[in-house]
Amino acid sequence: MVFTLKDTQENELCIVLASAAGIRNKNIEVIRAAIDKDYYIIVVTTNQLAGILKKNYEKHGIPDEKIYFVDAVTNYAGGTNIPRMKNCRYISNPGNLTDMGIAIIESIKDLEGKKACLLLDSINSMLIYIPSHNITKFIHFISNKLRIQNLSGIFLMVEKGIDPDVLSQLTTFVDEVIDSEKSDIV
Amino acid sequence: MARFSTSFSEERMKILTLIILAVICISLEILMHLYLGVSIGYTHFFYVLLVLAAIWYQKKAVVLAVILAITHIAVGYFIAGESIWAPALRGAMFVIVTLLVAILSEELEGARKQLVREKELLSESEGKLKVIFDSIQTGIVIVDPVTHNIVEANPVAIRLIGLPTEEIVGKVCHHFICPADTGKCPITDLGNEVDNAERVLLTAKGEKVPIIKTVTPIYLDGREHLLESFMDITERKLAEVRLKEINERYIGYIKEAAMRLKNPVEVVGQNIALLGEGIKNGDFSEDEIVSQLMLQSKNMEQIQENLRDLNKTIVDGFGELSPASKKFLTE
Repeated sequence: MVFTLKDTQENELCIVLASAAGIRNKNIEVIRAAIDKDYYIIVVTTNQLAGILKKNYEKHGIPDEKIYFVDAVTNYAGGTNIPRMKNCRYISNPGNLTDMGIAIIESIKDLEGKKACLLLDSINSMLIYIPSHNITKFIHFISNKLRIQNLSGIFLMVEKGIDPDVLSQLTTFVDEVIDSEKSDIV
Repeated sequence: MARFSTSFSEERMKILTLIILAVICISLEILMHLYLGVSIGYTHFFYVLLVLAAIWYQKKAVVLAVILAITHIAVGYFIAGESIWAPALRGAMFVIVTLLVAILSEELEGARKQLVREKELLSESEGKLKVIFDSIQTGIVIVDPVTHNIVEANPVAIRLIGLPTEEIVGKVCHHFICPADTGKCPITDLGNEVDNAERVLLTAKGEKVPIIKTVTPIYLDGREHLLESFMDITERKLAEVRLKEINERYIGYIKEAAMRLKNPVEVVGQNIALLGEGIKNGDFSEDEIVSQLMLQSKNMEQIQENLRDLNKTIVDGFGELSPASKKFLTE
């Protein structure tokens, strides 16, 4: 199923479940859907380098003017030779939730007054660096920030990649869980 | 010793009494029969001697009866010159009465001894039961089913409740061993069975001690009572909690391992596959390829670190592992 933001209401938070093989494409689908709905997007990436993502968006014909990045992996991977992008905040370590939180808040401030949406790609890759209970707290923190600012939020997650108990905790922070592979609302 | 000396003085008293009575009898025989020529009447006194002798010495008293009879016959027949039949008849009565009383006395003595023996056995049995009641490592409380008052409690029950015996006995049972409300006794009011059931004991300090309890109706002093036996299962409960904690820790370990080891490995595998595809298609510059490979390498290092962290969490929860095993799992 092709993901569209029609599936969610504005200023809502949702978890989007995708297959392990399809999560990269799901990122592109979500971005395209958000651009189509005139959203500014903050992409928080803990899985792919922001530069690679940008290249990928260009390859798929997605304009990048409205896309802001919080890149947690480029510096971590030692990618100092990779050109720095504008509209991108680099943090040193994907396990540093304080820096990530600050970068997200600053990006939100940059887009103050604009129709914006945050895309977190992905909760599964965050689990490489952060214990599940800390991720739960972080998602709670980010969800609260987004709600206060009346922003939308989409948290990408590999289906079957999260313990059901943790998923059920995360579910309480969002408005809905969309299993994009099954086109069911979980 | 005191019992022996009492018995010895009693024996002497009996012999002395019999000697005095025998002397009186002989004196009567001489005085009444030989000097006054009266052969009847006074001989009734002989029965006092003979009956007492028969009661005290049973058939041995027959010897005394025979001696008295021969004396009486001899005095009457040989000295007083009377007909032999009257003294012989009286003498025979002395022997017969003495023999009958002796037989009855023996029967009574046998019954008395049997009674004493049974009393001793009963007392011994009660003593054994008391020792068991006081020594058994199970709390036992006997309850009156009508008033629900505690009639008796053994030392274990007293220790568990934590009050002196006098503050437990006479009190209503549900103040201590069953927190049911008045009129809602599970046994007498609700008709339930309590057999190895887990219940709570209320101590004097207001603590709740988990117990396993059985209530059995018994007859005591001719009335129905409830015998409530219970064991403190605090240690067992703590062990269950500990086991549950260990299980939860294991389950937590497995879940966290799945999320932080298995799935990240899949993520890394997926990323490397996509990277390979991108390289094949010429999508990436050399720097981008190096950075992506470095990222996946760092991810693998982090996954190893996660494994060590998870092992450390588990190892810290157990004291049984040797230092060498702990080092192996956490370094």
